[in-house]
Amino acid sequence: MKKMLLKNKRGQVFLLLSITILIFLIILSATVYQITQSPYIDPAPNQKQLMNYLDNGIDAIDDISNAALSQFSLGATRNDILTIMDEGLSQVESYFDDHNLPAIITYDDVNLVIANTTTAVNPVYIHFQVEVSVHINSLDLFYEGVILFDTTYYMQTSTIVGNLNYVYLYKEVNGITTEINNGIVTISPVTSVTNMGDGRYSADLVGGQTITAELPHNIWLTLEL
Amino acid sequence: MKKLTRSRKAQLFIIESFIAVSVMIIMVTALYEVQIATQPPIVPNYHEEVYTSLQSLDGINVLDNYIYSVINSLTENITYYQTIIEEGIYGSLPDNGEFSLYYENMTSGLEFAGSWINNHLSPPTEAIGIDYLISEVNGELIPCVIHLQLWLKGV
Repeated sequence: MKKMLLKNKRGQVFLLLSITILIFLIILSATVYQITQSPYIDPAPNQKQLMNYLDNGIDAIDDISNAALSQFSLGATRNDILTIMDEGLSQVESYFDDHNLPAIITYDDVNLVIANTTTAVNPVYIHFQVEVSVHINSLDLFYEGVILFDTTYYMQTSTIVGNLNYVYLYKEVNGITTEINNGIVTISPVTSVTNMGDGRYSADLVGGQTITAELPHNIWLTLEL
Repeated sequence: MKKLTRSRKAQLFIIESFIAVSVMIIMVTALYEVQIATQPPIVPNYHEEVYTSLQSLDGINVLDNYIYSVINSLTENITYYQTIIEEGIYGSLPDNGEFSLYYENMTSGLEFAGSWINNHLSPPTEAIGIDYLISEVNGELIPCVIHLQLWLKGV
């Protein structure tokens, strides 16, 4: 049968064509297989993962603003704050670079605001505001945005009439107000303070006291009654 | 049967059928392989869940308080924050999930001695790596990167 088939011209052509088609199909399927497998052999950058790194970087810039507030509340000057911004942003930039996100991060130091009120005005606050431009242009992710970091920490007292008074701690971030229930309030001369767990700190307030609040990120506020 | 195999047309028909069946088998196999290859990897991607946990832990200042405690050797606080971090990360992993992490000082490029969690575990080669940046520690600019590795036991 084999001999007959091989001697037959049509049979030879048929066999040849069949073998060619078979080889073609095998190559085709192998190629499709390799193409679909390759992202797992050599992982393609995951968009979600890159977005996570971007989020993380922006959170880190927000933390830089907390460092600025802390240092300013401890007596740093505006120039010290600008140095903190420069160093911090350069670290965030290199973090992005290390994760395949070549970035340029800038801020306008003229528009940077860092200020606190005098200790005798109720409420006292410390305020930081800066606009940061983030530009990322990589093969896998393009991002361009100007982000406003606007944070103010407040300490306020209720009326000092009677013996059930309150010290309020809260912060305002980009217009959103949140109570601070993990601050530490101390009053001089020594007065008992009870944390109510909702941003209120109960104490017997009288004129002449000095109230000091230690807020998260080591930010300090002082109010003289 | 013998008659059938002697007929030229029948022979051609048999060969043709054989080739057609082979081609079909090859195509089905290729399709199956393509389907397998395009399915998500065997180890599910826990990156998102763990990342969300890290963000939450960062939001309540646990990640920076932990490294602050490590830097200042506050033993009690180290244990306290370590437990919270472990609970947070294990909570976003399945029962057989495991992890280890340490902090690296970005400025010096050195790891913070004593910042390891689960240092005794050896991550397998297919462990998933996640980095997380913290720029401020207790009001000071101390940029550090948390290097975290995740894997599943017995996979």
